Amino acid sequence: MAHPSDRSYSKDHEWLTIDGDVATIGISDFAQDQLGEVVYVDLPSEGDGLISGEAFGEIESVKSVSELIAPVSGEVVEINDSLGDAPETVNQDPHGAGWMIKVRVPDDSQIDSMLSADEYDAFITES
Amino acid sequence: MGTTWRLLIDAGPADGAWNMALDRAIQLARQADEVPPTLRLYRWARPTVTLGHFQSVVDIDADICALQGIDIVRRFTGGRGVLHDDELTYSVVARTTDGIPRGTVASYRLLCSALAETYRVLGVDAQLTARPRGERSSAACYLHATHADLSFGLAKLSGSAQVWLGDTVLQHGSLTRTRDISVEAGVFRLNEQGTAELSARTATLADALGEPPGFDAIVESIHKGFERTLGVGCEKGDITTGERSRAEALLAEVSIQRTEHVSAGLGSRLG
Repeated sequence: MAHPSDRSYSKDHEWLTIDGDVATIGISDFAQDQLGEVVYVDLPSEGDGLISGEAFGEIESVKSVSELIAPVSGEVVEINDSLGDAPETVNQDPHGAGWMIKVRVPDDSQIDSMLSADEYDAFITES
Repeated sequence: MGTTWRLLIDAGPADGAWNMALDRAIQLARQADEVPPTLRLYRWARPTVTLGHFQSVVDIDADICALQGIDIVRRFTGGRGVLHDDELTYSVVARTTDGIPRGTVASYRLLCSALAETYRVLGVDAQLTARPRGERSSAACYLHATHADLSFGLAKLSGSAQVWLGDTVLQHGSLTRTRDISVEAGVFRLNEQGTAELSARTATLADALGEPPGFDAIVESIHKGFERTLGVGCEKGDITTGERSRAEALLAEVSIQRTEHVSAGLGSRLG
């Protein structure tokens, strides 16, 4: 399973793209495949703060609840409201329409420690 | 796996809020590496509805619950509402380093295989549910069968639910001895058709065996089923003082008070 090379990945299976100082965050195709059919996504509100390494939301699939772990610190500026009515979008298009939140990241050097697509593919193969 | 797990067998039936809080406390303790992987077996002091982590209390008839002395509590795990009464409940807490696969479906497959072996020890030919069926939108968990469940023929025999905390899973579920369909139908506001489906699509140990096995026999079977399937030894132990303290602190989080039934009716989501 090769993941898109236009973004960074965390070992907690989130992806991140950056446009200016705003990062878009979702979960990887590998993660959605491991979770199975997503039925509910609980996301923070606009204005909430994210702390790298801490949970920013929860996701339910097949009667299983898992935490969503923030890959960076910052302030939530937008959430993907459409997931409320259509959580299955996370399964259908995890790297596109299934994005979860946009975060203003004051310090983009924290992205440097994330994995490239090749590194992430190697990580999920090993783990 | 080859390691030693802790086996907790509760001394007697307990309050529903305590049961849910203790399961989570064990998960927190395992994630902190304070306790070994754990298989816990417990019962319920009163009939109790557990709601899934994200489920609204308006899904159930709280008035009927109050009239019939049925407690309502919230689980940390996903899924829909379950009425616990004449059953033995199991919970498993273990990390991926204990041999639990990280994926939701894969971890269910392993742990539910141990449950299937438990049923075989009891003389019931239980199978992992191959494909989801039933009403996902139903408030009643037992009207929807998933990969997390065991079937007896086409009937749902046992349901389970999970929550992950880092690399530590908590999975719990019911081994139901008998079920009062009419009470369950009232709690989950099932109409005549829903009640008929609940009756037709679910099975208990009494249905499968003619009469329900004793609790001691179920305890012995689940002990064997998990040891054989997971390749581990389970040694009887006790909860730690840390787990007890954590569970006591979590009680408020899982308890659903009467006032909350009312506020939920006005549109707020609990949990």
